[in-house]
Amino acid sequence: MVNYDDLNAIFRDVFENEHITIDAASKASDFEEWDSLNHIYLVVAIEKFYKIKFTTQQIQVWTCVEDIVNDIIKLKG
Amino acid sequence: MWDWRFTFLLLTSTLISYIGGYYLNNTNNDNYRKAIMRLFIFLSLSILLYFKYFNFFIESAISLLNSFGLETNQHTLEIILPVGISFYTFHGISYIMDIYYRRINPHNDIVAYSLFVAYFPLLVAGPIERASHLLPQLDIKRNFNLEVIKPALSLMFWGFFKKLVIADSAGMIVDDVFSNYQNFSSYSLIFGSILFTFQIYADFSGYSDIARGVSKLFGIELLLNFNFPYFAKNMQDFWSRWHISLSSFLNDYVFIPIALKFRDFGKRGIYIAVFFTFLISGIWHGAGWAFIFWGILHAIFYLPQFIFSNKKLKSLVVKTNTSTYGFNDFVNSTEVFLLVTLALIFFRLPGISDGFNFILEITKNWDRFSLNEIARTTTHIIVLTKSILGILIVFILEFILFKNNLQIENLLTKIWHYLCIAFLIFLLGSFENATQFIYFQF
Repeated sequence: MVNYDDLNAIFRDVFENEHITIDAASKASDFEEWDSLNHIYLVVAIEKFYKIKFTTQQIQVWTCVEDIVNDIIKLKG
Repeated sequence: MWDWRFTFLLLTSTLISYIGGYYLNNTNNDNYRKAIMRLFIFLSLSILLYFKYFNFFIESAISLLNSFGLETNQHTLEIILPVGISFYTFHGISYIMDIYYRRINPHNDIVAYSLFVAYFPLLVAGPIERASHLLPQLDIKRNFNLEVIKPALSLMFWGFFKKLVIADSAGMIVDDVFSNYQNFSSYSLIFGSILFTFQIYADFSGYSDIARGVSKLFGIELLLNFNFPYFAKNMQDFWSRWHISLSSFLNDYVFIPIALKFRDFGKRGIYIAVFFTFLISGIWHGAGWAFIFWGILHAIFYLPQFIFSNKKLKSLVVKTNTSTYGFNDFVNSTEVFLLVTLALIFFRLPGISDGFNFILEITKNWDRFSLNEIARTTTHIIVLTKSILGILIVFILEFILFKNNLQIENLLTKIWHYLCIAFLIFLLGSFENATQFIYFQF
């Protein structure tokens, strides 16, 4: 299982915004900070935290946080 | 250049991307999908590479061999660059990539898809549209709506004003200065290069406004291509406002894939991605080393703020609050404008050495100053007055729009505004010097 509090902490750290709260439906357009550069930082931070490696194709099809969570679960087994 | 036989090229390019999209959707095997995507991107690009870059590659290879003392005969082909090829090729590529990344489904209607690739307002000089943005608009039934006529006409009038009053008038002076730069003083060369920076904006953004206005008449919205780029506060901000459709294309299909590939390299991975993105931007603009150098210069201007900052990269990306734009912002915008002007010297001249010679001439001839150099005939005085007047009108009005976060179509809604602009176009327009749009060559 993926803990949304852990994921939320990663988002807050990368976006440098303590006030954001993410849920499964959250998507890039919901956050001003979620631009292409931060997207890459987000990938790196998530990979580091969960000790996993996404493929480029996996990352490119994400449309919301739930997609990220599903891929984390898939890679963690 | 246009020739009826090039319609077969357009048809081939359209079919390649359409068939590519169809096959991509027929399998879920990741490796197979990747192979299909690469094959069809290669096929799409090979047409562009042949027609746009073949002679450039041959000439570069021959001069490289000659520099090693190997004598070769030059065999280049008489290849004509088909109009709009860079734009419709990129439409097809964006369609294939978006299906590959499962952002869109393949389109069933090949007629609507062909319209997306070859939609006439944007066929020759963009904006580069995305399948996900344009195709859904082509699918729905549109009814004639009198309400869209006003903003559509205001966009078209504004575009014609920029093109006929500024670009074509300024173009005459700019052509004079750049083609005989050895004969002008430093002051005139600086003036000429600044005028070219205004000319290219008026020309290209003018075309984009006309294209968006024409399309609006049909009830189809095109992407915003320019968002007051000369009020940008740094180079990152500039590239989010200049030729936005190309910048976002390169961001999605070049920058992000490379940055993801090199993400374990930290900041260096971002530098590599930025460098290659601008390199490809330069190559896209033309088959010549000067365009490539222009791209590299922009990478050089873009990167230092990242390299010499301890902040995270993202905090350097400006979230522009246009309403509080003040004197310090104006100073920053001027700095950006001058860097853009410097790079455009290489964009305007045929070779890199010409660009350096032009800059060398600027440093040499400070001792002679004469207004007659540029305004030496009555025609020159008239076109110079027209272009300066036009620039003032456009930038004062655009500053008001920028400060109030508006676009031109939000402002010109009363019919008398159109009449005023139409009157100014006929009064100041440079009809006798009318030239092709600069971006038609790409």
